[in-house]
Amino acid sequence: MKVRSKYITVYICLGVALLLLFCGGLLYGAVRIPIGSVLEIIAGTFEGRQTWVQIVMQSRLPQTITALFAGASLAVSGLLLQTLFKNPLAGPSILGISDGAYLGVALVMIYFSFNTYLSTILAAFVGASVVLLIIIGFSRKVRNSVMLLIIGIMVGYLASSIISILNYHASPDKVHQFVLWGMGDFTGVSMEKLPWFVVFAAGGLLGSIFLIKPLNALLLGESYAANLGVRIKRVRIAILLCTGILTAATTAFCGPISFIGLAVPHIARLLLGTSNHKQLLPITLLAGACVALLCNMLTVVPGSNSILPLNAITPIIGAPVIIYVIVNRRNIQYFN
Amino acid sequence: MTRQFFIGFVFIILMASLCSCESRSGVTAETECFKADSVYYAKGFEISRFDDWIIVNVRNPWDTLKTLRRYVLIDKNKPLPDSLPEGIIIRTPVEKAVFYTSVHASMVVQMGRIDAIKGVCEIQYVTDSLILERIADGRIADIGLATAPNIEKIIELDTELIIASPYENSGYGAAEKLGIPIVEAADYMENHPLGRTEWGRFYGLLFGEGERADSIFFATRDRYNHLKNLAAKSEKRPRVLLERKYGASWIIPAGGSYIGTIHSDAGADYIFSDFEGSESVHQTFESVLDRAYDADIWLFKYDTKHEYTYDILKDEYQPYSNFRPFKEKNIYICHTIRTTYYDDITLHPDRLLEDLIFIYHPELMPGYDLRYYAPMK
Amino acid sequence: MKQQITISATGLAIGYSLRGRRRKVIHDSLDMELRNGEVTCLLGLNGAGKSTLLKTLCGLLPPLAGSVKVFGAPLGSYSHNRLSTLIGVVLTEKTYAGGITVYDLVSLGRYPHTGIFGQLKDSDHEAISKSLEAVGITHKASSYISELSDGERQKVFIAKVLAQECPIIMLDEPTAFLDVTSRIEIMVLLRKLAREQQKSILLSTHDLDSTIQLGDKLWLQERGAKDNRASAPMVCGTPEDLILNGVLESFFSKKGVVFDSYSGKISPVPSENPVGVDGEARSAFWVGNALKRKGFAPTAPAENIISVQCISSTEFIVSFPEGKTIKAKSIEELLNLFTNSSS
Repeated sequence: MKVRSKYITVYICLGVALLLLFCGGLLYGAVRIPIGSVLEIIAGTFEGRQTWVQIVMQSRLPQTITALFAGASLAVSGLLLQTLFKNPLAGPSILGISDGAYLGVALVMIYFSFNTYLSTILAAFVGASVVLLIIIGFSRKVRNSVMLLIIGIMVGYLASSIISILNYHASPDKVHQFVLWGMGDFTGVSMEKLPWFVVFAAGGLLGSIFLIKPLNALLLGESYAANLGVRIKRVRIAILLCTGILTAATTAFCGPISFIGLAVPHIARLLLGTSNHKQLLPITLLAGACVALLCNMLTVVPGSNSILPLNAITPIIGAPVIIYVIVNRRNIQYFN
Repeated sequence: MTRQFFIGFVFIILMASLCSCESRSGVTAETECFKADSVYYAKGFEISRFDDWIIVNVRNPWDTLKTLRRYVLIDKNKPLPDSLPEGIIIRTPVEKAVFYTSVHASMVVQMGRIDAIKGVCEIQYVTDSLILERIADGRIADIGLATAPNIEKIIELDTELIIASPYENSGYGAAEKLGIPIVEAADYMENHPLGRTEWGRFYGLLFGEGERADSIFFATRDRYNHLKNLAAKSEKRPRVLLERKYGASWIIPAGGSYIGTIHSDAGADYIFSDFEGSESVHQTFESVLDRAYDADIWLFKYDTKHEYTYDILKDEYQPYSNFRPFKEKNIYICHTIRTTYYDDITLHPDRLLEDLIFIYHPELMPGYDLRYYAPMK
Repeated sequence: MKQQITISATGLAIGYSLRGRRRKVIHDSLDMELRNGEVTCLLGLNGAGKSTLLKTLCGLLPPLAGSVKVFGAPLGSYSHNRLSTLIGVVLTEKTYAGGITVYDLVSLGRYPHTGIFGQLKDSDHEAISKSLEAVGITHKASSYISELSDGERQKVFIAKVLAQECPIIMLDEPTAFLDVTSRIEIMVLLRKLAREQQKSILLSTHDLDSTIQLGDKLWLQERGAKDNRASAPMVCGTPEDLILNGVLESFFSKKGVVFDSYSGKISPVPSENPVGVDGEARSAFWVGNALKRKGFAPTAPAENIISVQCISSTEFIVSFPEGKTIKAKSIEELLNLFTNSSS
């Protein structure tokens, strides 16, 4: 079938891109390390500068893996939300889940001043989970998905306002620390912490794969989906849980990262042409990983001493996509 | 008004051409000609003495060619002259002042004018025990947040002067409309440690303790330079790494910054001293590792409630353990809230220097107890 | 195959439950039965609650009172999955499926029959192909939904419900967007399904013509409960019985419209201006149609009224009471005579 071959092309291209970008993450960085040396380091046969081994194996490798999973998680999370709420502008940040994580970290960093690695991660998780539970609780009472979306947005605003108050009273040092955390960061997960992040991210991603079938049914609207046998309330909770775990884990380990969840599903739809989640979900996953890897590489500006914050780069890729989609929406099938 | 100013200006020029003036520090106001005081380390202000007034120009720290503010200090006991120069008029000595930043208040305490301190912002950061005492018994009022001070309180106190820290492109809100002169103390922008301290000489003029403030400054300066010379005698210069990674960046102070200067003055080889200027640079972890992995000593500051240990540091980011100071347990840490670190940057940079010299060259200072830094456990 | 009752409702009250335990009851105490092998048409004016009734019968809305039984067992006793293999629906709701192909949408009809990931087996593909063929949309199988016309889209949804392979199919205004030929197509298709596969088909519609022609049973739904007045019960029966009993006539009686039990059409209330029409049957019928439009009431010829004698489709003789006769060669000419001489 002609349609099939188009999908296979996209899969192959993205797969290759992913591989290249992953290698790029290992080969390129602020410190110039020759390609041959990097290969030797990975092979374990390198006999030179020890710092290079440490850089490749303890900094670049976990960073790249983190970016891969974070990008995939955020992108899939965004896709789930866009389908659940039938809103192409939905994203992980819109439900207030990442604001909840933000608030948790703000409390621990600014108010309690007790930010060890563990406490920061836990605080982000707890904050995100609290907001998630609130949203799930409302989802039982609120039948209309649009209303739920609005509740999520309001909860997010509430969390933001509390964060503002904390920032207002905090010392410049603390505010600075908090702002830096808010810039997003793939480098914070060392090799020994990485398994934790990967477990959560992989769990959420796996769960979302099981949701492909009901997600497709939801494209028809909740009445049709219910008639096809979808248990709407259960599926809604399952989607929120998956999205919650993916967003909470990513925000906890990497700070809030903008735009990937919002823009990558659109990139995937534009590449594929279809909204069928059987193809859309895996492609979104791959595309998210690619975009995150690319953004991670772009934080290091060649020839400059300084680095750019991650959340300054993601909009450069994400915003044009969104603008393109909005401007061209008449010609884009999934908008009609 | 303009005509009077013009006449006054011509008069000054005439006088100047009649006298031979020489610049000397510490000259009192009893001169006929205008003299510029020597300001040694501070780049942010200039003092010019005239017959009837003293002019202090505070330079714009973000555009050093421009003047941020000009202050005209006129003695209260003398009548107000007919023609006034442009600038913010302050009648000295000031009896009732409100301080947005507590360390400025501390400087005024040093020169013996605690009675002139009527209000302070953000009392939670005050470390001076004398000030704290007066806050407790109400003689010094709590003015609230520096970003949103209690205007009514300021009015209630009959404030004559407000001393605040300026930020780029930001005003002072309602306070500006009070008609009370606001001194924009840009001392925190000074790159040399003594530069910050020297601002005390400006405050001295405001509170009528010009001589005393001068002598306090000179004492600090002399002590600082003595220590600096002491450190220079040592032959070894340990390679020093500073601060930590926050988020994706390791913020590296530049060589020309306050931090870079004080560590170099302490006889250390600050690894990133080749970063010019005074702006900090955001580096990646791998750059810092590659360049500083074999540093001799590592110092950083923190402010969390829990104390840092090697375990906690490693837990925070495991690759920290690759640095030589970590492996050889040569890390010193400073808690910025439990010590008077931030205040003493301005008040007593010599004390800070002492700590650093002891860390870098312990043999030069036997029997010294560290004040700010401590070896990490 | 023996006919059985597939869905029955007794004492059914439909409506919505609002916040605070208030309820908006649209109808209370409805009784009706759906049988297999039949096409049942639900007629009702706008706002009568047709969609609400459909949704209640298929389980999308809970009944406010009374019970619904499917194959003899209460609706609520079926699991979601089982129910989705028994009842399939076609609704008027907006969907967000613009980005999937026709084939993908129809394959969603196989949802109750496929496994966890929705993998389609050969039998599934067969069912999908057959459904596409049955509605006549196979040529558009790879097109995206957003590229289709309204009528084509409607057919796709019908194909989907066919792929679901349920014994009961309910459709909410399925012919609303279709052109005349498509309408007949769909009604014929539904008839075929009812007859050949013994399905129970329930559809709500405004289209009186097709209903009378192709519907086995009619349900007439009056406007619902209002201002403490109880709602009227549902009237059910074959179309012909309802016409001959005068039920349809009274159902549609409103200001200015009347149901003509002879032609089976709804027309404006006939005027009091009689005009006699006589002659060749076909022409006479259409002359009558034109006269009605102009505000006259065609009737048998009589002495004191204007009469039209239809010789052929191109020859008409108009006789006026005062004895004048005029010939007309077309109905247009004929009508001009009337308007000119209207007194």
